[in-house]
Amino acid sequence: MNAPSRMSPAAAEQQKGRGSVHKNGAPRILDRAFARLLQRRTRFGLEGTGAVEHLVRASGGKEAPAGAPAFLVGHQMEVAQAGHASKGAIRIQNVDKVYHAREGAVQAVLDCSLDIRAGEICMIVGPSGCGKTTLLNAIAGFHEITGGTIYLDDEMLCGPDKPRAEPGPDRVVVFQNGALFPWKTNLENVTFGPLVQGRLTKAQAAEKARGMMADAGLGGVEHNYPGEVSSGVRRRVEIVRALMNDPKVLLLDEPFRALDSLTKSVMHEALLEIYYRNKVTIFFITHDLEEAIFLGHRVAIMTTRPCKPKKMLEVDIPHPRDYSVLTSPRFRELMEETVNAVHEEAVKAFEAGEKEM
Amino acid sequence: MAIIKQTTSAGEIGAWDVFVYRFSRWLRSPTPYMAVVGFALFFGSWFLLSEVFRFWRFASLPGPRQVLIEWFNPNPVYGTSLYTPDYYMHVWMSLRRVLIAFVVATGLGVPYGLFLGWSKVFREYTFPAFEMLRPIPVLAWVPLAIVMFRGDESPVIFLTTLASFYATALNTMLGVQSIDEAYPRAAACLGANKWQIFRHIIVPGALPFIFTGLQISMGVAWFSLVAAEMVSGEYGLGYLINSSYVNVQYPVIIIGMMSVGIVGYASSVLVRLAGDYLMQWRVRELALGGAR
Repeated sequence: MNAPSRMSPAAAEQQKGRGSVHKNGAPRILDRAFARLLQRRTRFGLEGTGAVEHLVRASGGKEAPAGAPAFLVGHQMEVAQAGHASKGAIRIQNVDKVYHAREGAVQAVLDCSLDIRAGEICMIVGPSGCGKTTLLNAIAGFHEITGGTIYLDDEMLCGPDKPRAEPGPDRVVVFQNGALFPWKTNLENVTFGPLVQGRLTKAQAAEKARGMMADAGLGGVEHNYPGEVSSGVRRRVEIVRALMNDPKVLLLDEPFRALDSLTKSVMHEALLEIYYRNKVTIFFITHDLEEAIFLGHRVAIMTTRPCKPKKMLEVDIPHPRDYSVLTSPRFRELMEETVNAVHEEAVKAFEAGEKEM
Repeated sequence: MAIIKQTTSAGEIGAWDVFVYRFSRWLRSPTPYMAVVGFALFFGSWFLLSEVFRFWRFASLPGPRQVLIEWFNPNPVYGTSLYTPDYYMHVWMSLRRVLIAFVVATGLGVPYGLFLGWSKVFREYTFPAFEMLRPIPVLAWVPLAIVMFRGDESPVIFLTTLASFYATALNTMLGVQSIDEAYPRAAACLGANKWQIFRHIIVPGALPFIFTGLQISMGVAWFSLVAAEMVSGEYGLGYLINSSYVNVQYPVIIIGMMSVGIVGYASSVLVRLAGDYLMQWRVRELALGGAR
C-alpha cells in the first residue's frame, strides 16, 4: 500500500489549532447575533434560511464565534455545511455485482450510480438484503465488483481492469457488530492505524489518541479492554479509531443497530459532534429512517435487490442539528416521504422472500 | 515487591493482583470444598471396596491405606516411596521428557496450525496428509520410533511429541478459522499489511484456541509418555508402572499411576495460568461477567 504521509496540511492545522480558537474571532456583534440565532434554531428547529451560512462565511468561515456550542470550534463551522470539504467525494458509476451462490447467480447490485459529495453525510436506506452492504464492501475493497467503476475523488478505486479496490486508511469501515480488537486495549486499538502505517511514533500516536478520545468523551477508558466497556462506548472508540487515520471517507454499516434506543440517540449526537470536528465524508447504511433523516444531508433510498438508488432525498434541515429537530414539522414531512418510498420496497422484498446476505 | 508496585501503574491490574483476587474468591466459593467431597467419595469407596468388604474383583487390588503407607514409608517394602531417590528419578525423567516433547510439539504445532488456518494453499497441500497420519495411534509408531531414533531417550520423546503436535496444530488451525472476518478486514482498512495482520490479528485472535489445544496437548503428552515408557527406557513413571507389574509389586503400580495423575494435573494448571497471563483481556472480560 503506497500510503505516504496521509496527514493533510488541513488536518495538521486542525491538530495545532485546537484550543486557540477564539483568538481571531469575528466582530463581537456578529458573535452575539450568531449565538442567538443558533440558540433559537436549536430551540425551535427552524429551517435554514441561509442566514447562518452567511454569517459563517462573514466570520471568515473558519472560526466559531464565542458563545457557539462548545463543539463548534475550529474549522467545523465550515464543515457543518455539506459540500465544503475538498476531498472524499465518491462516484459510483453503473456498478454491477453478481454473486455466485449455491442456488445460482444472484444479481445483488445492478447498474447502480450514486454520487456522494465530499464532506456530506449520505445515508443509505433500503430493505434488508438489498445489497447496500455489497456496495460498502466494494468501496472498502472487501469484495470485487463485476461491472462499473467507483472513484474516490479522481482516483479510481475499482473498475473494469481492477475489480477489487485495495483496502486502505483513506476509507475506514465501522462494522455492524463492531470490530475493535478485543485483545488490545482501547488506546492500542485507537493507535493501531497510525502505528501499522508507520505514520506516527508510539508516543505521537498515543498523544493524538488521548486527545481525540478525550474530545469524544472517552477520557477514562484508554486502558480498558473493549470487552470491559459498554457497547455505546465501544462504538465511539471504533469511530475514533477510524478518524485517527484522517480518512477521506467513513463507511458505517449499521453501526448502531445493536444499541438500545436511548444509547442510540446519545450516539447520534456524539457522531454529529465528532463529524463537526472532523472533515470527513460519511457513507452510512441504516434501516432506521429516523436516524437517516436526523443525521444525513441526503438520504439515498435503495430499491430491493438488485440494488440501485430509487430516490434521493435532500434533508434541508440545516446542520448543526440536535434532538429538537425530531419534533419539527419539516422532519415529519421528510419522514413521511421516506416511509412511503421505503415501504414500497420493503413490501417487494418481503414478497420476494429475500434473505439477508 | 516495591518494584512490582512501581511497574503496575494506577488503573492497570497486574497478573498477580488478578491471581490473588481469583484465589480468594475461589476459596470463598463452594468449588474447592466440593472437590474435597469428590475426592473423599472416590477414596472412600475405593477403601471400602478393596480393604473393608474385599469386594469380588477388588480383593486383589491394593487399597488406598496400603498405598499411602507404602508411599510415605521411609523403609518401603517394595523399594519405592517418597524416601527413595529412585522415585524422584522416575518422576524427574518423565517430567523432563514431557517438557521436551511439549516444547517441541508447541514449537512445531502452533506455527504449523497458524499457517494451516491462514493460508488456503498451504492447508490444501498439507492438511490431507496430516489428517491421514493423525488417527495412527502412538503405540503403532513404537517400532518405527525405535528403528529411526538412536538411544533410549529420543524414541520416547518422539512418541510423546506426536499426539501433542496433532492436538496443538489442529486447535490452532481452528482458532485461526474462528476469528471473526471483520477483524482482519478492519486491520486492512487501518492500513495493516499481510504480515501485520498475521502478527496483530491472527496470532492473538487464535490464542484462546491455542491454549485449549495446549491443555489437551499436555494431557495427551502424559498419556503417550507412559505408553512409550512401558515399551522402552529404564526410568520414568511408565517404566515404574510396567516393571512393578512384572515384579508383582501392586502398590507401586498405584503409586506410579497417582504420581502421573498429580504431576499431569499440575502441569495442566501451569498451562492454564500461562494462558491467563497472556490473555489478560479475556480474564478481565470474564471477571466482569463477559460483556461480549
